[in-house]
Amino acid sequence: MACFVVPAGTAIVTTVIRKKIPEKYHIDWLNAMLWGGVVMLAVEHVSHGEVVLYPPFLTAGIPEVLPEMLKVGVPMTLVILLVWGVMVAVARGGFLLDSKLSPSYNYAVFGGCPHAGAKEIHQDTAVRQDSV
Amino acid sequence: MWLVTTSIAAAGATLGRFVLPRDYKLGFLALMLWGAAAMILVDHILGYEGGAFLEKTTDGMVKNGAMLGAIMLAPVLMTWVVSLLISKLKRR
Repeated sequence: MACFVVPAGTAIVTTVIRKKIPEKYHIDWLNAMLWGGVVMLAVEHVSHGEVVLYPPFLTAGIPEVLPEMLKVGVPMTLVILLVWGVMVAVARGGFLLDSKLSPSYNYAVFGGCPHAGAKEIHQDTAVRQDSV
Repeated sequence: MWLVTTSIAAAGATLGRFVLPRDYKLGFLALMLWGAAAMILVDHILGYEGGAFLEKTTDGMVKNGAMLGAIMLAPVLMTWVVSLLISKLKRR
């Protein structure tokens, strides 16, 4: 009936505040997933006659719409948020693991800081050779 | 059936993301489609009342489930095309 209203509301909020969220959280991923789902579900609901293109837009009344929003809309939004959270965790995973390792381990495995540029690695190697 | 069409389209976009150049922004399209597929799956699971899980026919304006799935793809594809055009114009 109106399950997509919950993710639509979430998508509006996350789109409005997207510039305030640090880039490391990849808020654009969340926005893309939310808006994609909202747009496609909106078309499906129009086809089923549950949504119309003129006010009040929903063919069902509030007593039917609210339980549907809670029963389906909230879980589907939570699923998207969970997927986004996992994606962000995986994307940052390498960095988190590397940062916890000791510098000597990083040097042994990566030949320098794993996130350093080639120039930094070269300088680091040169310093070590000088000291020997 | 629109769950199947959306999932197939999402898988295709994901595959294309790794095969085609980054300029096509297929990662953005894949994200929109996977988000939609996840939401439709939740809708199907929580709204399941017995019978066929994937309906071939619908009781809406579009009777064919696969056709409805194809129509549902249209706005997402349009959004992707518009984003492609915008990024091309920005590069100029």
